[in-house]
Amino acid sequence: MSARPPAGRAGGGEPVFAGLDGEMSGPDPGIHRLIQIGVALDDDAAFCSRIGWSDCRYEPDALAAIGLDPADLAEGPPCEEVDERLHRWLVEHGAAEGTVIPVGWGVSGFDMPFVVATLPRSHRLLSHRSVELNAVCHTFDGVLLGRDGPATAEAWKQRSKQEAERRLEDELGLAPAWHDAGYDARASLAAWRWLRGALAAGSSGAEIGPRQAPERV
Amino acid sequence: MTGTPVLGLTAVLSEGGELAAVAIAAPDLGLFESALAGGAGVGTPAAQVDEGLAAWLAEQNAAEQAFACVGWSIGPRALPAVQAALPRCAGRFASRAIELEVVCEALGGALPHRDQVLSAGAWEQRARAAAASALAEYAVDDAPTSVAGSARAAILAWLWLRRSISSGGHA
Repeated sequence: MSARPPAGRAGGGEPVFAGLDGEMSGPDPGIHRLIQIGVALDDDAAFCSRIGWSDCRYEPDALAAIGLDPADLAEGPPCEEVDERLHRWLVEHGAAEGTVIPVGWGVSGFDMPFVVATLPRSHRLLSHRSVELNAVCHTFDGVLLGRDGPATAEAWKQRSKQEAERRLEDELGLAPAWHDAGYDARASLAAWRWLRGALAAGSSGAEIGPRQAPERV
Repeated sequence: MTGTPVLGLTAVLSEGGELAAVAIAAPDLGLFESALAGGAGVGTPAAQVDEGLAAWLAEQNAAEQAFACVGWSIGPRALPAVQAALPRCAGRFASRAIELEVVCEALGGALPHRDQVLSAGAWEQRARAAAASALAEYAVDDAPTSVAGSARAAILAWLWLRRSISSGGHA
């Protein structure tokens, strides 16, 4: 087995997992825009930027979910500038072409089409494969044991989000800010690490995390 | 078992991203397979495939729960293409497909296999081998690389990976 690079560093062509989240003005990448991007390589290595648009179509519900007004859509640097900054930041952290594996909730089906359309240079650094956390939770559904026996995919999802939130607050001093792309990217990476830890602990019969395991549903 | 019913899915898409052929395999290796009529007129009209698949899905799951689809390199485009081409069946599938490579990424370095730490790539190799071995054991006459064989291999790999988790890596 080849060794993974140190957390938060991609190097020598080795893959590295990165929490990734985008906030959009609506669900359709052919119509709507990526208005904020967050990428987290580690606790102390996260990138977040708004993206400003002068011609942005939006769905009111989408903006309401992230607490923006239509007038806010023009705020932020243009996408070309954000793409350049994100690309430079990833390269400075050791990324090479195709080495950064995006991790997130809905990342492959929802976020990536917007990233492809908006941040093409940065996208080239991303692996063609992304880690969809919903798929991981579904895999654990009913077969990975917590203290109370098998837990559902939904219970694993809720639990991993709670654990990510707890970790970001306790260890990094970050108050919960769901629907902020920078926070969600960090939380995705933390949830991914917690789920893998749960798998390792569960397979060895150890207790899973500091809190009670998900309830059987 | 607490979960959603799962099916193996292989979808062949045209260059334009439209569904050209589909194979769907149940855990008991029951199979639905069809090529759809395209520009060349070869294959079955989509409406007829939709009707046949709806009947097949009803046989698999009388409770009409939504099925989760699993596959190798299934990507984000396969399931939407199936749902677009076969609207009657679209609602029978959960919104997200499960890419088996992602499952292997989760297991790599976290779950030992027979007390040996494996990379994601090694988990993938073993899952594929276990599925091919099971196909041979069940005397199913599909090459794992055919559309039908790929769908059956996907559901078998999924079952083997989950057995590995539940057994602590001793499947």
